[in-house]
Amino acid sequence: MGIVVLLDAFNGLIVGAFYGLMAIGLSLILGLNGVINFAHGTFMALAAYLAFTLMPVLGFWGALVVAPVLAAALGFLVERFLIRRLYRREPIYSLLLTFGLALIMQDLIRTIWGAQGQPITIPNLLDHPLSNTYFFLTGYRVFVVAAALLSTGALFAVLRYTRLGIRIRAGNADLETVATLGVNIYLLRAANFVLGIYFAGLAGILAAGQLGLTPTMGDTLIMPSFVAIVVGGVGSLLGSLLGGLLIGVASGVTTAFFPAASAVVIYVIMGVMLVIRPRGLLGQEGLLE
Amino acid sequence: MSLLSLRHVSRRFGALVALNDISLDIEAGELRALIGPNGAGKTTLFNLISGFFPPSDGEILFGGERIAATDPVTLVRKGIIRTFQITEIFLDLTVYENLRVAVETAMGISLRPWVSRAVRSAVDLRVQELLELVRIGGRAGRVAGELSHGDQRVVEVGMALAHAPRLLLLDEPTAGMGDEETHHMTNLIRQLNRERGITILFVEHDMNIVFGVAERITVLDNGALLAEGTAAEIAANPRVQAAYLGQGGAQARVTGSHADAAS
Amino acid sequence: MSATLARAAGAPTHTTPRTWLALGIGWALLIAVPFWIPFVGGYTDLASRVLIYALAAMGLNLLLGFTGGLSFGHAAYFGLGCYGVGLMLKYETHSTLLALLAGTLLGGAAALLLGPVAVRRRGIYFSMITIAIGQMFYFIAVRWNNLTGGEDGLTGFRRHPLHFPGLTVPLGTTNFYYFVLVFFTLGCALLWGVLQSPLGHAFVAIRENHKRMRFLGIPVARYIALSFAISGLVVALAGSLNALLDNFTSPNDLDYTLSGNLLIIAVLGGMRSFWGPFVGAIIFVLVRDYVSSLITNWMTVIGLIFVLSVLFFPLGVLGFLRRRSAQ
Repeated sequence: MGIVVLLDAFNGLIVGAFYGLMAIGLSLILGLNGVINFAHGTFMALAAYLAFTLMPVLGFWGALVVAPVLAAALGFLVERFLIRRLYRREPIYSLLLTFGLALIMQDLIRTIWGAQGQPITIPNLLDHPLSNTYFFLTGYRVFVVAAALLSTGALFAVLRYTRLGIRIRAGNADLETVATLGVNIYLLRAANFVLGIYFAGLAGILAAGQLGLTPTMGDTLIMPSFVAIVVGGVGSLLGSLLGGLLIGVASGVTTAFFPAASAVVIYVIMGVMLVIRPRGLLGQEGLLE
Repeated sequence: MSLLSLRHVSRRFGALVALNDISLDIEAGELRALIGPNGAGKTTLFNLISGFFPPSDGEILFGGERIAATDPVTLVRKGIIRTFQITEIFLDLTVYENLRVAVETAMGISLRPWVSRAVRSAVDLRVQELLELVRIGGRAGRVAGELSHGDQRVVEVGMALAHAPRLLLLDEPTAGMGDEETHHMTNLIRQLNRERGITILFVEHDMNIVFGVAERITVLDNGALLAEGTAAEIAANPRVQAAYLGQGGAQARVTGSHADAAS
Repeated sequence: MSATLARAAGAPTHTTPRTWLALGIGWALLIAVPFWIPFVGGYTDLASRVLIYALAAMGLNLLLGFTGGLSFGHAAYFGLGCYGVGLMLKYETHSTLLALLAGTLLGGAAALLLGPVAVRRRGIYFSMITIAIGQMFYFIAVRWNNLTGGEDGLTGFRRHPLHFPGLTVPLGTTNFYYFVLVFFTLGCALLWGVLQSPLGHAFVAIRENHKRMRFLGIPVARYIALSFAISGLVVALAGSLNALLDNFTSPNDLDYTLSGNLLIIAVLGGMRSFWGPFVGAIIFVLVRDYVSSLITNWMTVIGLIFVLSVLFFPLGVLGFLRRRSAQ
């Protein structure tokens, strides 16, 4: 029993890492761009498919580096030519725009790569259990968790120590003031969007190796990512990551005891959080409202 | 007993002390001006009294009842109603519709998904009264967003009056108005106070208006209470003059205004 | 904002003779649908679908366009209506009306209970929470296999003839269209009545300026929750009718894709006008029906409708027409 619970908890942790990575990207875009990016899951899937296509040429590691960059480049075009036109309008417009984009991009993925799932080849190096007792600790799974933590750490370093990052954080707090300081907020928002999409791409490739590659893989992850943001606390990137890990593990542990409820439990957590602590784990009151 | 009493009220935002140990009393029927240089804490004080946020320390009494940390919805029911420095009205609705919503909230019927003909005409009657009182009846059918800044301010005061306030808080009621509109607004303030007996506390930068309208004046500076008294006392107060002098030659305005008020 | 746009934004205030005339003509056209629709290449069930989606989008629009609450989760209440009807007819009753009532109340009750949770946050976070809450029902429907039929959907129920004392009305295609039309009309009357009342005035005022409403003594969040509940009830009525139309329901009726469709219907037709979502539903349902029968990549076409109408048609059809007529 114990090891089964541990297995499910660990599986939950991995899924939670994907939620967290998604949620961080969504949070970034939500904060500075003020956009609920419904196409986030589709960008994620697209990056994974691009990696799939690049792998025969570049290998796993090459694809892991290049594919998110390509997705981010597409993100740049989307921000520059579509989303930018909607910043001054009510949020419903950008929301519906990204929703429509998600439909189009998903259709595109189906047309190019087919509706069926595709196999992703994991490097041999990562494909073995690290321990006989804890058989579920495969190299890839540990790698996923490590990669999630590493890339989040890198993001926080960028946000804290680079000029761009400091401006993004300042813009999150008060975009108008940042604008009056002479920062080009259009450029800032574009950079931020690209950064968010880059994270989606990264999560996509990692997730494809674990959960499989299908055109709708992003859809199954985006909803829990929304929940992760609400639970983790609005406006807090660390909160988003923690929220993702928390609901992932909670969902995993529930699988061990009451499998049918594993998908629902995260919404219960959100409901409880909203009632007892509406600001979420690390959120600030009244931000972005 | 005073209508409104502040006892040692402070408000801090993190390390910033916006208001420090303010005590003041406003009697029923008073027409009081609140003045002070920019950043003195005037709007913060309004926000505390109207329940926008609670004081960090101290107690606020309204009609003898403790109201610190009471939410604005409850305070409106108790009779405290305010306008804002930046006019808050319903810009896409007509003047008539703006006042109608206010009247319906005041009559406590906003939750009703239907109304009888009698109630409907009672609402209409009250709206017409208000249109007449603030003298904006000629623009009843106009969309509020198209009106001049001054007329929008008048609409906001009209909405506040729908509630028959016990304490009316006006935050810079004449800001951005032309001479004509200012004249209209000051007359209205006087009329509301004298004829309807409404207690009014208003923030104002134009010293002509302050000294011409207010019976008593409270001066804030840098989050603290600097002085309080009649127009003449305030104009003669050296500390007030010093505070305004620090603002860059405003002393002339204070004394000059005093001369106006006296004339 | 321009004056013309502003006028379009108010609740319906005065009903002029011209409005009555337009309503009369529109109503007559709707009654005559089964007679003329074959001649324009349509079919009666399609017209029923248009009415159902129109009712759902109009219900959603009470919250969206008239109260200013962007819910992305109203498919949940639509779907609850569907499952309520399906389960009632399958296990409990042969009365179509009773099942309709049960479905509507189920969805309405859920909206009444969950609205207060969602309104604890405002702005885009309100939207995000409504999405997540809505999706919870999707997962429940998928996982609760033995009750809901899981991903395959709920089958094994159908609408039964209406029984009145001394009268039995079979609900064939044409009769069912009139059945839908009756409830569509009732739903519209409910929404119209609310918008004419002090409650409706308060909703519109909250959309315009919630700070002002708070300082007029209105507990804004509670009012938004109420709008949420009424709007959820109407959407649930539409969902109930939809299950009766198809004699089938599936998790797709709960999915956020449907929420998105209802929103684009409202925006496409004009979310600031009462009949906007009706116009949007006509366009959306017809285009979807036509395109999906024609090509496989119909999702791209739907996506393009979203993108293009958001970029170039933000006021929607009715908003656009109103602005032109005012110029």
